Amino acid sequence: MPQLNVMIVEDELITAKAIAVLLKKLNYKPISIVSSGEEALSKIKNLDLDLILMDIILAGNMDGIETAKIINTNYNIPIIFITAYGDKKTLNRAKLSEPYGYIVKPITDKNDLLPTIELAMYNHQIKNELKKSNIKFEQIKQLIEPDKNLLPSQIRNFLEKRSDHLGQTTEEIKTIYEIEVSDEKINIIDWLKSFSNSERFLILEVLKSRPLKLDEIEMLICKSQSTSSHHVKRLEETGFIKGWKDGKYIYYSLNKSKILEFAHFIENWLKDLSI
Amino acid sequence: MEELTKNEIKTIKKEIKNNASYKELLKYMEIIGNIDRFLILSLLNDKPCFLSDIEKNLDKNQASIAHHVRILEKHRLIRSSKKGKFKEYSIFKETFAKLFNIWNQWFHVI
Repeated sequence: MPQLNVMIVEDELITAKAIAVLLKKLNYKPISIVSSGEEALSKIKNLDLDLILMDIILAGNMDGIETAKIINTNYNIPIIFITAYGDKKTLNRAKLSEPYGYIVKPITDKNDLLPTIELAMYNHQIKNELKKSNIKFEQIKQLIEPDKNLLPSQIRNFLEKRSDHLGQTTEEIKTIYEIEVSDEKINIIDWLKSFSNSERFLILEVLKSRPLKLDEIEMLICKSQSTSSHHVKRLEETGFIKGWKDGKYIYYSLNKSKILEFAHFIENWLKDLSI
Repeated sequence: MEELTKNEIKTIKKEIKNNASYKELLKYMEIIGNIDRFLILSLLNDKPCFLSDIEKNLDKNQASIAHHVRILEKHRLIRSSKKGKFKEYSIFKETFAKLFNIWNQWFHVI
């Protein structure tokens, strides 16, 4: 069995350490123990994790279910809940974050963990394979070459590139919509999608005058933390905004050079259409 | 950094949402932000087209193209004229001239 890198998110250190001992017995590697959702989120990006064991009641402002939702939005790591609360209401709330398993404490033996972890890893593998075949299906759909007679040169270039990408990965196929702006390749679909959503547009508008924290963004768009995180992630991916740390908070501000690149691209396009 | 209160955020949001240019730009961004509509506009910029030409070049079915064309025409981003039995679509240049101005005003503030 390959060694799995595991994070334990548990506010009781003794329990966390006991779980770590059981994991080691199962030949897994408990590489990180944290006590709060915030700590988990700050450490996760620097770790190569295969699995997260998450308590529901945590130290800090977020509980395990909220933390799991944010992790699911941003990462592809299976999460198993470990909790003393086995009631139906908690279980129903936990279900919404699509966990891979649910273990009720106390955990005293490695066999309390093994079946759930094995099943979770198996399901995760199946889910990833299914995702890959869906991507393949989308690629095949895209690879039908259209008649090119009427296309303007820029759009024609996008479509001509399609035929050269048979059987390649999604990341590579994405390049068909890449255009060069200021010596940098950008993806026009990502740019347009990132900019044309009313909530993201509102976030960008406020960021024109001041930086915002995630909870301020939540209040601004009146949406949950996971939705807000999704929008922030999308804007960060296209480079329109960047995050920076100030004390314990992460602030987001406009990445002016990137926004202006986009602005000039659209400006030229609009100018072309208006004359 | 000074934190914003809930009321301050509410006021900022209200001011933005009441701004006519903001509303207009957002409306157009939501329309042209769809890649199919973006491609249709780029295609029509090259030369006026019939619906069948657009379908062929975008490799999409008639219903989907007709839907996007309807939206573009409704918001006066494209116009149509009858050529025999069929409608020929072209860019509504005046709207783009207006949009070009709103867009520029918008980004001068950055």
